Amino acid sequence: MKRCLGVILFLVFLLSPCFSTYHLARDILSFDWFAADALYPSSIANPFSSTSALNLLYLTDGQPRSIKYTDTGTGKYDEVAFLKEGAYVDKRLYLQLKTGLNIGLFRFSYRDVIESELGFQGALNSVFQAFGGADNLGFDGIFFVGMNVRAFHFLTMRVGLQHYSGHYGDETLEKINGQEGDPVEYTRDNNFLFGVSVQPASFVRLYLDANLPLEKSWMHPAIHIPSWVLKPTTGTSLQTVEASNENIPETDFANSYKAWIIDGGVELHYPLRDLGSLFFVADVVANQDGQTLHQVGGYDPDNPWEFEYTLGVGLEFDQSVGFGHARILCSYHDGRFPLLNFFYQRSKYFGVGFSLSL
Amino acid sequence: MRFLSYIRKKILLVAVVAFFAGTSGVWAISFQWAPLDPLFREALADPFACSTSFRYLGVLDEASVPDSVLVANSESQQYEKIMYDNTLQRGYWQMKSAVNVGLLRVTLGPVQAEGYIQGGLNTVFQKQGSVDALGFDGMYGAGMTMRFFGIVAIQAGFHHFSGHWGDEILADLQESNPGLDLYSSTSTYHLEEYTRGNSWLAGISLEPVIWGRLYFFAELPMKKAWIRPGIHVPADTIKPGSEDTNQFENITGQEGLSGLTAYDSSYKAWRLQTGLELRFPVWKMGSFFLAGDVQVHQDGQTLHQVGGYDPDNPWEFEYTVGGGFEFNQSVLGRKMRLECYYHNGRFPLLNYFFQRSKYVVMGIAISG
Repeated sequence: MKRCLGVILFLVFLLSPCFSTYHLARDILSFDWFAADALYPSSIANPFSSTSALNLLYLTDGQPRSIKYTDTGTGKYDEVAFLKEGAYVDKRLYLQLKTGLNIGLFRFSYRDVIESELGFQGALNSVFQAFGGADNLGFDGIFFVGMNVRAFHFLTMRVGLQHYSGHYGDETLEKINGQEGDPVEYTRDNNFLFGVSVQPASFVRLYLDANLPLEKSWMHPAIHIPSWVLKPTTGTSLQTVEASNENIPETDFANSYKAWIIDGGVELHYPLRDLGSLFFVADVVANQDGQTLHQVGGYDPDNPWEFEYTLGVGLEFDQSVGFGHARILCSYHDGRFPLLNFFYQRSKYFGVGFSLSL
Repeated sequence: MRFLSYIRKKILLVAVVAFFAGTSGVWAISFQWAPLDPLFREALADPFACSTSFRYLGVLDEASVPDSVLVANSESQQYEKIMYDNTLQRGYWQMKSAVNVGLLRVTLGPVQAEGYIQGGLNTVFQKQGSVDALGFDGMYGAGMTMRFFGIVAIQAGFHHFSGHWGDEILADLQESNPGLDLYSSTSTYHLEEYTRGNSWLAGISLEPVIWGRLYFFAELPMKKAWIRPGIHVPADTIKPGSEDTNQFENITGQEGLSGLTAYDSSYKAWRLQTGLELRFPVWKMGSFFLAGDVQVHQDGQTLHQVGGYDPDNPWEFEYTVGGGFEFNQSVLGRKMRLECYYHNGRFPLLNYFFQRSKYVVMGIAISG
């Protein structure tokens, strides 16, 4: 404890005299310790991006009504209903609350042409039923830490570690009684992430992110774990360990299976004088783990990857003070329910709400 | 009389319009749709402030370790603790992701007014072992802020608190207590939660000098509100969606408790909060700061136990003191901080309201 306190105080004293924008070498170089708006923007449309959002969701299809359980003695993932029989069968409204931020640290800039920084993105995400007792379905933790580099205010790249961790809501688990086994969880701890963002004009941005599990990383569920991923603490096959924990047989994956997550999108803005801009956004996510069909024995290398689609339109308010962006966002999503642990639940929904990039 | 009243209202309206019309000749009116950085800033030392933070949390003694859930036992008609972890872990990670933004800001000379919306999610994980999540909190609110001469800011609105147990400690609970039945229709146990959905919130912030700030908040559950646990519910609270269903009887009934007597009218479940913040600028680079926060909970009079309420019981106090360095000197505007606090009060997860803890937190925080 004293050592940690000492380190913090040391950092404060070390950093505080330096904390400012530095102009070096006759203004050729500049340096900032902290940049509130990171070089690599968060996606507006992606449900798991590091924006803050309060969205009302209207599900047209795929209401989450069950949880998959493992280690039940059946050797497979069993669906266990938490909304029994006809309960709330016609209720379709859900509320998504997500708070996140996207910042840069230690930013260097060369003539404002090449900029680099240590990027950090983090978000906590949650969804509640907008009916009954407004019960909570789950919580997600989502983080990225890595390097952002921007050239000519046009091309931005990032490389680093991406973390995903899903948690079920206590009020949802409470509805399941006496079930043997454990709920299936979704974890990527951590993925290697590489991203490219291109802004050829002020009104358009294109981006593409690619996620790949690290060789030594924690992953759940066992059915998603590539054969080459190792348990970080022992270096043994993680799939072997987790399949044993989940009491399911191991999967014989082809070499082509890497559990890739590829995310691409486009954002278009149309300026409105004195107000901000109208925008249109589209996002597509391709999940290679969809080849497993999220079931024991479901994997086939010829199975298609699982795709998710999100479209959005809205109004982004102009900022004359402060930073970041505030938006009203209307969206349509065809893909996984927006909680990590419900990766096996395909849903279609319309969303409307506030979105903030900070 | 009605005519005179009508005339008085018209005169008042004309006077108000004339005042703003007159002053607008001197003071320019400006408007911002979404200035984001709020006029009423978050308290630095408040564990549940709508700031974003990532901090190490170390509890200072064994009595402060969160290792149990609280349940109502309908058989014994008591609240009881059930342990889920016996490893006496001292280290934790606290992560809070939250925003507090201003919207639709109107500025007329020294007078500013805006709407605000705030919300956040808070969680604490064990540092050792499986890094299990102890719980998650949701909090949000909205309302109106006015700021005068850059010195006084007043705020009023509603506020929501909702605590949730971590799924992983619920699994630990089942492993540690095989056969424990929390959920079936015949179960005698009912997991307790902390909910304030919703309360009225009013606050005032005074900044007579640029280096000093004093604030005060008062929070009072609405007449129609969801309040948990049952023994925290004031006698006159009504179940939302109903006209006259008594919430004390409703919630304690859901917990399997019966025959309880509601409290006297002096018990309102108030939460009061005050704090002081001092800043010491370092050139143009930022400021060292010291911050203290005191919270007072009237629900502490219940001792968080069935039959524990006594109007002569003291309110429950929480104290937080600390400081650090803030990397931005503008009064408004987003700031990053390195900070360290000592806390003597409740463990910083809402559902652990019954767990007094002394701890130190240190880490990074960002807020407007």
